[in-house]
Amino acid sequence: MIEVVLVDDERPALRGLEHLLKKYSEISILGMYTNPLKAIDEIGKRKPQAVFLDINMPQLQGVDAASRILDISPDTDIVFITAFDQYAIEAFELHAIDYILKPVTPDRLRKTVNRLLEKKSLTMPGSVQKLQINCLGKFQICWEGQESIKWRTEKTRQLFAFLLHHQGREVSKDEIIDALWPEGKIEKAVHQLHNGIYYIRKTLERHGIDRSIVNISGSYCMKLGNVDMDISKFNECCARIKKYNDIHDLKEAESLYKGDYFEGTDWVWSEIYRQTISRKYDEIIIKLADSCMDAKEYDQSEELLLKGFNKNPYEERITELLLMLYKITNNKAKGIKHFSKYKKILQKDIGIKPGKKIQKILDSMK
Amino acid sequence: MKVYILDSGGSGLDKIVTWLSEDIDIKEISVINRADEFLKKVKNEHPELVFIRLGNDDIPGLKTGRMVKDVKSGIRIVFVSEENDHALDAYEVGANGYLLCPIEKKKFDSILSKAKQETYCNNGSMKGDAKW
Repeated sequence: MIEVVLVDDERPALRGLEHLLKKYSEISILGMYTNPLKAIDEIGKRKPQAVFLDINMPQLQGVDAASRILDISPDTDIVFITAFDQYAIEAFELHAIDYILKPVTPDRLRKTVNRLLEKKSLTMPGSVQKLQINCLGKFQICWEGQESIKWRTEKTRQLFAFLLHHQGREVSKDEIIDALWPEGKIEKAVHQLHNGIYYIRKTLERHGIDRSIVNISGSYCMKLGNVDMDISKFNECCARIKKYNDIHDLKEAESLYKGDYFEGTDWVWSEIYRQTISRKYDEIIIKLADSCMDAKEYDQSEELLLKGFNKNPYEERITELLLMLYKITNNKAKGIKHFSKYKKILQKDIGIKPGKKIQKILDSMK
Repeated sequence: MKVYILDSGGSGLDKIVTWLSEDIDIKEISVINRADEFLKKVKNEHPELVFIRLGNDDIPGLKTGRMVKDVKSGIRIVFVSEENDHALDAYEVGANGYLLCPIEKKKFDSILSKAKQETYCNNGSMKGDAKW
C-alpha cells in the first residue's frame, strides 16, 4: 500500500484528485489539505511515501513547499500537479518523481501510480515479482516464472475472466448472471455467483495475491494493482503506434499477440472485444510487414504476412502486400501459388472472387 | 555502477565524462553516438544510469528514452539538453533527471548522488561496495 497526502489550495480540485486516486486499490490517502503549512506539519509527522502537490498556491509556492517537505521528510516522493509547464526543470532539480499537467487524466495518473509502486517494490526486496495476467492466447494467471493458477471449476475461471474484462467498472449481479448463467433458475444462479466469488477470493489468497494486486469489491468491481497484463500492454502499444507509428512499438505489439483474446473459449460476452483486438492485430501485421518491406527485410515481411494470412485469410490487404512482396522479389511461382490458395478460400467460404487490385498485381508479375 | 551516454559531441559531454570518471563508484562509462547501438548495449548490459542528449537531429532522444524504460524500468535516465522545452516530455518518459547546458557541477552531483543512493538502496549486494 502506498500512503499519500494530497495538497491543493482549491477544495474542488482536491476532491477531484481524491476521486481519481480512490480508484487505485494500492493507494491509501492519509490526509488532504488546503492549507499547505498545516500539510507540511502533518507530512513531517506521518512521513507518507508520496505527496501530490499543486504548485499554484498563494501562501507558498509549490516548489518551495516541496523543498520544505523534503527537508522534514527526505524519503517522501513529490508529484507535482499543475496547470503550468514552466516548473518542470525545477521539479527535476528537486528529484520530484512526477510532474502532471492539469487536467489530470486517469491514464496519466496510472503512470504516476505505477512509478510509485515500482519504486516501492524496488526498495522492498521480495516484492519485485509481478503477477502476470495473459488474456491473449490461453487465459492464464501466474506469478512471474511460476505455474499458472488452477481454478476450481471452469465457471469460476470464466467468472474471474468476466470481472477482469470489466476491470475498473462496477458490474451488476444481473449482468453477470445474464452472461454466465443465462438459463436456469435465478436463485441457483445467484447462489453459484456467490460461491464463485468466494472461491476466487480463496484462490487468490492461497496464491498470495493480496487486495493491493487484485481486489473485488462487494459491488462486483475488479480493481488491479501493479500487474503485468498483456492486453493492457498491447493496447498501450497500439495507442503509441497511433501517435508515433514507431517500428519498435509495432514489433512489441506483434509479439504480445500470442493468440486471440481468451482464445479457445466460447465466452459470448468477450466476442465483440475479441474481434476488435483481432482487427487491431491485423492492422499491426499490415503496418509492420509494410515497414519491413520498405527496409528491404523481405523474409521477415513474408513471415509476418503468412502468419496474418493464416489468421485471417479474408483480409485482402494482406494478400495484396504478399503479392507485392513476391513481385518485388521476382518470385512469380510463390505469387501464383498464394493467389490460387486465396481464390479457393474466398470461393469456398464466402463465394466471392478476389478483388481487381489483387488480380492486377498478379497480372503485372513477370 | 555502469553509465552509458548517448551523445555525439554535444555541449557539456566532456564535462560529464570527466566528472563520471573522477567518481570511484562508476565502474564503466561508454559514450555511444547511435541510438540503435546504444539500445543494443542497454538491452545486453542493463546499466544503472544513462545520459541521453536531446535536441540533436541525429538522436531520437525521447523515443530512445522510452525504449530504455521498456527494457528495464529501473534504469535511470537523465536527459541532457540546451533547452528547457522538453522537460515535460522527459517526465512523460519517466526520466529521473534533466540537465540544462551549460551543466552546473552542483546539479550534476545532485543527480549522481541521488542515482547512487537509490541504486545502492535497491541492490543490497552493492552496499558493500559503496565508498561513501
